[in-house]
Amino acid sequence: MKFEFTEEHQALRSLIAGVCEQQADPRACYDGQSMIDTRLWSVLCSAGVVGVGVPEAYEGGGGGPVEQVIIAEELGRAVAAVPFSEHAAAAETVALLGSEEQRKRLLFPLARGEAVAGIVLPTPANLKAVEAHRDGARWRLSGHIPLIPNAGAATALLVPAHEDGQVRWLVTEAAQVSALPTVDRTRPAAAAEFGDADAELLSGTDISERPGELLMTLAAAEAAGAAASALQTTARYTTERHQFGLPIGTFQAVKHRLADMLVAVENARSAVYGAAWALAEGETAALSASLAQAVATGNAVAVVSDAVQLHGGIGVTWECDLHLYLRRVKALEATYGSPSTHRGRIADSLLDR
Amino acid sequence: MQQDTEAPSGLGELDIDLSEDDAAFAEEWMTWLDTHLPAMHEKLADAGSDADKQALARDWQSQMAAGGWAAITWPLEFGGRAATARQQLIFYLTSAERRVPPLAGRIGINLCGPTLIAHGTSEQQQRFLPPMLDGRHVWCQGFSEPGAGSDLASLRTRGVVDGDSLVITGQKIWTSGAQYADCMFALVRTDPDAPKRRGISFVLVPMTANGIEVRPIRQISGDAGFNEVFLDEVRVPLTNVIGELNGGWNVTRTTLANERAILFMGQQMALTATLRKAITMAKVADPQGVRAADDPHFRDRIAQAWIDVELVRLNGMRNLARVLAGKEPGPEGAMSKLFGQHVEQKLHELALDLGGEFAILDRGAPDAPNRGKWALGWLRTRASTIGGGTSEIQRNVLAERILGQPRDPWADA
Repeated sequence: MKFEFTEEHQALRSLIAGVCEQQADPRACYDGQSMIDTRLWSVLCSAGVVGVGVPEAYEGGGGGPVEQVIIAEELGRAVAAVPFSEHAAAAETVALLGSEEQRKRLLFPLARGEAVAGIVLPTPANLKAVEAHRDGARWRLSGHIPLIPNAGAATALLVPAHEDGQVRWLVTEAAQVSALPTVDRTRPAAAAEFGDADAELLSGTDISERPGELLMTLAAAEAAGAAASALQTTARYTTERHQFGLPIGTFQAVKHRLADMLVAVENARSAVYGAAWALAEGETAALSASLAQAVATGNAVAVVSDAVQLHGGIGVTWECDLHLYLRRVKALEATYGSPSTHRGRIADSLLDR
Repeated sequence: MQQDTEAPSGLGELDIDLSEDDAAFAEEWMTWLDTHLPAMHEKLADAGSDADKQALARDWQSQMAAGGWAAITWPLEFGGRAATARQQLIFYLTSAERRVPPLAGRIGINLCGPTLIAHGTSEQQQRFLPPMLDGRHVWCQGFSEPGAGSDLASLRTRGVVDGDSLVITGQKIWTSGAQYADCMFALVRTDPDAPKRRGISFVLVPMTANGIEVRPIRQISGDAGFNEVFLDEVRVPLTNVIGELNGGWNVTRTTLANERAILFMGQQMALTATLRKAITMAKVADPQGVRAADDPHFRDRIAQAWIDVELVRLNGMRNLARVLAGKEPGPEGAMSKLFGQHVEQKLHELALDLGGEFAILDRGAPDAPNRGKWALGWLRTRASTIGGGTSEIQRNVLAERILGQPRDPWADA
């Protein structure tokens, strides 16, 4: 039934947690050496995690949103610096809208992680910024996108453009992608200059909202995971740190803040799982994805901020990992629509029908 | 008023597998309701006074007991059905959908019955359970005292052993339904020298005994559902003590975690109905043509209210999935009280606020929003975060039991 995690799901969760514990090194992105955590990414590629949502016929894992959400949550828990969510949404776009020939050609490298994909969401501003022109059997893209989240390491981009009054999706490997310095280095953004870049059009004309909904859900799962991890770390710290002769977790001012953090974390997870199951069952997931975003990213910022507060002075040092979490969740909150933007969408659907 | 309360989503949305037994259970229950429910709805519609309603609630309970539906979680030998978690879910959902009236004696059936079944002697079970089941005896719970609320174990109502009797003197408070009750299950201090949790007994007290006085407490809303119960040398036989003398604290810990996992459904349905009604009214212009749905601030609060009610549902579904899979209820269950009651309170505050300046009008004023019911709901739900354990106590519980924080230094060992 819905919301029931099977033993396979639990095993997947443990696998990702184990890999992250041994391999993840988010600080590599802060010492200027590396755009993403390449060691972790290659382990995830060889474990088949990167292509988990790609159909088995194209060497993927044949999993769905529930598996992807579990992975994103665990990666968020470790502030892992890998573009899993965006890559997954890009692959989903190809799987949904590509012809059989395109799926065969494009999905294999995506499933193996040989290509790293970024995705430009079809916001009004993005659609205005890019133009697509037919060039024989191929297409050319022109224009400039100033900000593509977590695309710093992308070798291929999924780009939406207006064509005959419809939104169509194109794939290009020829855009000039330049990474940008970001507050959260674990999700490096990029700008893209298209300059008549060669591209191909995905044949499907179905204007599917699904890639965006999936991406919002996975980003929310990253935030929920990060918040859960920060809470766990903090609850341990407050039993170890003594003041006035007692562990500080003895004091109700601390205890009650922790309880509120727990409620915020579990609400974030519930919202994310609700969206995952809505996507998995092919339901209209726009509201569920907005719910996941509105709850998970906002709650995560509140929880991690509280975690910093409860760590006292040590919480505001570079050495303490909490700032990696704080940067990550704040970036996630700003990336795919703020909580108030998503509440606005929910209000529109409740009040304007 | 019922029209704007759409039927809840029901079993379809849950997408659970039903065994043949479960399906037969559902079929039998529906058939029984078809036969008995319409007449009761008619009688309830005509009932005027509180006393009439109380009599009907007892009548309904005796019908439900005769059909085997009054206490479905009790074992078969005591007139229950030993219902599985899925059957409880079916029962609960359909009860809400078909507006099955509450039982007069639900406090006894839900709280005292399971304790008697777990800890009572066979003689006690034979004596107390049948009239509890069929509504001849309606029960109230005598736990809280003026000096023992959150710190329940500090209760001071004392019970002194005198021959084969227990003589009880003291005061209980916040006793729901004491004005209608035939019996009270109470906690009394039977050993004042023992550590406070070890000197308490769980005892059954007939409300007709000499020395009992019930005084209603008028609440913030103007209703009087609670009472004070004064006990002055009330004499009950020692055979009314359930479990060991001085062992009452542990007797009360007969928990109903699985049932709680299902009860959230009722909470969520009530919240959904209130939210739907608030949204409907927000779209309608007030007498001066102002629509709350046009106000950006209200739009944001309405969206947040929808989100909150959805979270209550999603948390409940997660917990339910665990219970139906035969696992222990998770932290979602322990959280649902803290979060759900906060949501209920906020939702009623929003519903009242949506009326704008007309929110100040009470029952009787022609333009009072929702005929004054929003104001009443707002006042009533001030108690949501207090009754059955304050939010502050819930936060202690969550921090200590789920997040492993040290107990308060003043807490009992």
